[in-house]
Amino acid sequence: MRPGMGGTDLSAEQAPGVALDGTVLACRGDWTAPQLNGMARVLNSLQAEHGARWELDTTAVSRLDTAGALLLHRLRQRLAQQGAELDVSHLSDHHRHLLDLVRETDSLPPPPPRREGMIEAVGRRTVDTGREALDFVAFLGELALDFFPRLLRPHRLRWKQIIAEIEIAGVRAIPILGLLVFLTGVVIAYQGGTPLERYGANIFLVDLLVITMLREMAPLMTAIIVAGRTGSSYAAQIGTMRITEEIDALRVTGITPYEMLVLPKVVALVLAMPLLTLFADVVGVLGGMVVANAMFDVGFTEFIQRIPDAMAPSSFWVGIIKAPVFAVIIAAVGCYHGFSVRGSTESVGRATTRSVVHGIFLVIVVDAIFSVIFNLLGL
Amino acid sequence: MEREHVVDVQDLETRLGGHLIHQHLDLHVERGEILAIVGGSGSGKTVLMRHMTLLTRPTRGQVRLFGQDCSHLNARAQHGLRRRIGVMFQHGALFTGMTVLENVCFPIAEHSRLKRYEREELGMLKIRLAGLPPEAAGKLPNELSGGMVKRAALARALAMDPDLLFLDEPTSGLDPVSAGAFDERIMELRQLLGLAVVMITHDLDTLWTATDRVAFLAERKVVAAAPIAELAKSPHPAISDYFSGTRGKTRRAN
Repeated sequence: MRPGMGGTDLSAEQAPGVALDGTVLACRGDWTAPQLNGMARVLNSLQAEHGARWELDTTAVSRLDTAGALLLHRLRQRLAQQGAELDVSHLSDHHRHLLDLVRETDSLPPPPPRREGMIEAVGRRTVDTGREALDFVAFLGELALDFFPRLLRPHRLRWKQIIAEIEIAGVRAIPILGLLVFLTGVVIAYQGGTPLERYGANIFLVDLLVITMLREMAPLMTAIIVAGRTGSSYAAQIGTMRITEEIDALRVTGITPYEMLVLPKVVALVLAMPLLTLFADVVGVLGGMVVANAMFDVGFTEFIQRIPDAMAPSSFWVGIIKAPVFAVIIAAVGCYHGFSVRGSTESVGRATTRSVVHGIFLVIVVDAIFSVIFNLLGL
Repeated sequence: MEREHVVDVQDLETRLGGHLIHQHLDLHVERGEILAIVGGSGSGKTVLMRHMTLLTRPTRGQVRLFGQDCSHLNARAQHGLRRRIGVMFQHGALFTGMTVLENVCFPIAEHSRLKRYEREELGMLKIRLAGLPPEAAGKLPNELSGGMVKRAALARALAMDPDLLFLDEPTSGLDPVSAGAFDERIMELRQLLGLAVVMITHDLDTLWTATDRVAFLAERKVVAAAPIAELAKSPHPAISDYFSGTRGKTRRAN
């Protein structure tokens, strides 16, 4: 039986030690993993002459575990290389068994993976990014192939699920979106109002507010919040379902994961985002209106009367029309990253982060493209 | 001479969400023995093991590990106790972002101040000890087969040379050959390292070949704890039901 294993002596941990007395190598104390730091160095400093024969004595060792046995085994190997010998025949049965066990199962750890150089790293990243972009396009193609036939039969869509998704992605986003857009309106009014006031052009604050809010800020803020709230949750949900094999379970039931998971999300977001944008338009302008009234002497009635002169109706439509496009981007990016999860839980976290970063990135790029197109069209 | 008890559970009671799971439950594990806990699904085997591995606390009663009462342990004492127990979870619970070797070295790094190289050598030793080939060390958990995951989990449970090893369904999901090899490995390790093993299992082959005693959980307590041959003859209705199914009968006939 293993010595010193009882519960009572747990607190009595003794520091391990080793001493060479003539040809007897005497070990004492606890030769266990928590105690053995630095012991390897002590053992390495022991030098034997060629042909020496040392006797190992572990009678004073209170506890020996595989970590201790491994150290003694290494010493024995090193001595053997130097032409000396460590005699273990006088050990207790238990200690000798441990040493035998270590000798039988000893094997070196695999070499650490090769570190790649800078050029190699840059190349790998470039190729990976390119491949991912291609993958994403392929994913969009697959989605389109799967979707269009289904969209022709709208009564076959999973409306119950779509409505649930609309509630999660749309209705529950209202408080946070309202607050943030309201504050954005306040900020724009403050920043824009001061220089305008200097020229006595306070009333143009309405033009500034309504146009920035309706054309750019409201759709963009909505997209960013939805990407952070909803795009990430799509990636996490689908990613986790991949790991738990739920996606495969869907497949063997004969349901494509696109139909069950992606389509309802895309449809829900395409329906919800324009509504959210409309809501953001109203609340954002309201925020600006409050500041205009309080700080720049533009009353509420005056403000509202000015709106039809300040902007063409197209400004409103320009903002709203972007929303469904952003919705498709966010839902597709979120789902794509979810499906790209492989194996580990760590990659779920990575996919979630990337879905947000890539979603917002693409939304802003597309927004810039929209600006150019609208400019060319003279809208 | 009575052998020392490494685990002593006395008058344990557990309530989870208003349900009474255990009541007046007593159980002990002797040093160096392999004890299996069996019982129908939902009889509270896993909950009992979670108490014994200090993951949860019972509503009432006492769990003693190595003679220490675990209900009033300070963080330091608990840390010390955890070093002496190894736990292998049902689905392995390997850290998915780490290789097998990193998984095994993780507890070693936590509980010792050995150098990285020493830790890795020790980790390799445990990997071999658990019956994995050295090439498996650099693999990620999702590249392993079911049997290899079990062995890697065993290697991690053995990392700190525990005196007490808990196994939750160690052979479930393994083919009979691998399961048999796993049982043999456990018995060998018990022999070599002198550990006590507590396992939850439904594997009748394991029960008959690898255990010293079997504790049967029913009616919220341990209704019997005895060597399997004795237990199988027990007249208790729950036990005789358990062993009189076709599977039980065939196994006993062999």
